[in-house]
Amino acid sequence: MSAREDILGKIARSRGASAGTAKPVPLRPALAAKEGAARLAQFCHLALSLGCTIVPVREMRAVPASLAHALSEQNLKGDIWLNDEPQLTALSWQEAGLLLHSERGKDDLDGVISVTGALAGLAETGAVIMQSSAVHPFAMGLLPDVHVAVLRTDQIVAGMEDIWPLAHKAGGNRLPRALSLVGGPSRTGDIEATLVMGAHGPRSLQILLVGEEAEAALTPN
Amino acid sequence: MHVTTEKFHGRAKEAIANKNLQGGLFIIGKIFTAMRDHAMAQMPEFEALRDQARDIKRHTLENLGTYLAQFEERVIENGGRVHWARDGKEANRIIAQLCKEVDARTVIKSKSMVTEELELNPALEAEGLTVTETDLGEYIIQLRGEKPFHIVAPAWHLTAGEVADTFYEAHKAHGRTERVEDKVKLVEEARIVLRERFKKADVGITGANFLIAETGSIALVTNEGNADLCATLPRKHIAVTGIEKIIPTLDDLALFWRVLPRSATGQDTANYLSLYSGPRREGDADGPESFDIVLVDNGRSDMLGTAVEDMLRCIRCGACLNACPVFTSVGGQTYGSVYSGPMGSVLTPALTSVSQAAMLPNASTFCGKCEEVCPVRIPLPSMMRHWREEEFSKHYSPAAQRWGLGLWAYAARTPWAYRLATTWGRKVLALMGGKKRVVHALPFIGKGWSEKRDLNVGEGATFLEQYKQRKRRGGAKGERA
Repeated sequence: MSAREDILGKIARSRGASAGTAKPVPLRPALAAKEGAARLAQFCHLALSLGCTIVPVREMRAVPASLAHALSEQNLKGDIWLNDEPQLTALSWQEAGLLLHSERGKDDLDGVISVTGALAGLAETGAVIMQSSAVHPFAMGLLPDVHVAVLRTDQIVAGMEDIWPLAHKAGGNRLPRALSLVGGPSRTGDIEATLVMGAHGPRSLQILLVGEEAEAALTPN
Repeated sequence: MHVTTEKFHGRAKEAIANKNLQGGLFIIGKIFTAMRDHAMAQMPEFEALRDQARDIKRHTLENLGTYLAQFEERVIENGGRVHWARDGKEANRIIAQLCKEVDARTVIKSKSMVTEELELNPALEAEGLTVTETDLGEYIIQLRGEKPFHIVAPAWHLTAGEVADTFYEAHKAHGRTERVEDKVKLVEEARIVLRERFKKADVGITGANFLIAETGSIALVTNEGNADLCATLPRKHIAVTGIEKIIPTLDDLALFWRVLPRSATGQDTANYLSLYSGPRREGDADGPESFDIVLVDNGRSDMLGTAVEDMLRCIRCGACLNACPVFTSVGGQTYGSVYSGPMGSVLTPALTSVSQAAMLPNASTFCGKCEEVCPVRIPLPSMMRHWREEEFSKHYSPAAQRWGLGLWAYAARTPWAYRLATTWGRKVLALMGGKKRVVHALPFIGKGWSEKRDLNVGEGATFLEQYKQRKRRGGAKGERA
């Protein structure tokens, strides 16, 4: 008998004929049910507390200039690796003084600055949702030292339950190969319980938050 | 799964005398529990979520075969493969074979307790493969040839100085000549060394915190992002996990993703909550060419329908370890099993045998803290009691203990003997205790007990004597003697 038949057979024999108990419908906590301005404010608050930086940008067109400014403030060079999302490739990066690179190998992406879009932002935890696709090599959110995620305010969803339909739509009626809820830069507490950033993934996660209400959401009251 | 639980007492003494280890235990016992309590307070629905987590797991176990079959169907639709393994040997053989399929030489791994249980690394190394653990704590203990100290924090019994020594020796081969003790620099050093391994590895092996039946996905939870690199960079991704990790739907996963990090480390979320659903899709920019899932039984299906079935609800958060006064005194390696603390004391005898692991269910004060914090409300103390009963009825407990319990049972069933023993016992102890009413050394079977403790001799009359006196005086009900 195959291992499969063996194991499933054993399970069936131990269960008998009883239908068992019904499965409860998981409840949605208040933290995952925020609307409107409160949702945006909670996203910003939680993302910052996870160690992200957030730069508000009024409109998509202004993203390259805002990024160039943010990088120069951190004394970072303007060499960036952009993924192939049309909403990003359509922008004028060179005009902002940024130098685009198109190599995609593991060594090429190691330690660089990547600029990508995101599937969504999650107000429940402050995470940025990343997914694999034809236009986004998933490693671009893992191998670089700095990951810049361009996120529109209208992409922020309330709870994890809201991610599944978006992901199914993006993956062609099924989940994409890879889907990650990225809650800030990579970190570890494995040596003497001391929190150190930049364990294996990016050392910093910088969100360019695009929308007219972004700036107000970042200003306390 | 090899266990060395019989050495518990000796290792416990060493652990209590080890100051570095006690430092790690202090953080686990005090800070982890405080962070968990704080995270709970931030989410008013937490208790209700725990009830639901228990009920979803219970429902899933009642329909385990159906959900596993559904999961397998979806994985195949996604272009992946499912392999079934009855025991550790079969699982290791399957995984080695899968590595051979792609002519693999190097394997990178993210943390997985199931692969620790299977002793997968030595099995793959015997096949000529180089295996590297990439979770920082697991990497450290792999270099030192140790077992995990805690299921979430495997290397917390070590100081930065000890890690520095380990890295200095191991990384000479990578051209590093300086011994650094600074924690940020140590993390950086591991990052540099492991990054090269990530880029060159042929196969990535991960565990799976959850399997989602409706989509055929595996769910992973890390803070370092190492599991995501394992699942993305190599040509082949193999996920190894136990059959009990299955849950029905993505909405159920949302619930468990809310409960797990809060229970484990007191974080509102882990840094990387990820779902993987198959190999690289047509048109995808990257990802592994093949995706294989190894579903391991290794004693789990035998637990269904028994007194320890509820243990299959466990999501390996470690909250019961952090809350346990025994674990936070002696640490995980003392248990002599990859699964330690209260969950390990229940699971280890189930996966091995009561005769091999009888010591573990006895390593408990029955304070009940473990059950209080368990996110899926597993009745851990009553299951430890079950194993103790098994141990006694199968005559595995030591002769002196059995003899003592037998004597007590005889006295308890024989009133005249009980009265005689308590009356005279009290008088003899009073004589031995002297004015201070403390006995430092007991004879016979009491010897071992009094080696580490003093016995305070009771004052006044025994219960039965007081009862008789009161009856004679015709005292009213509830009157105090």
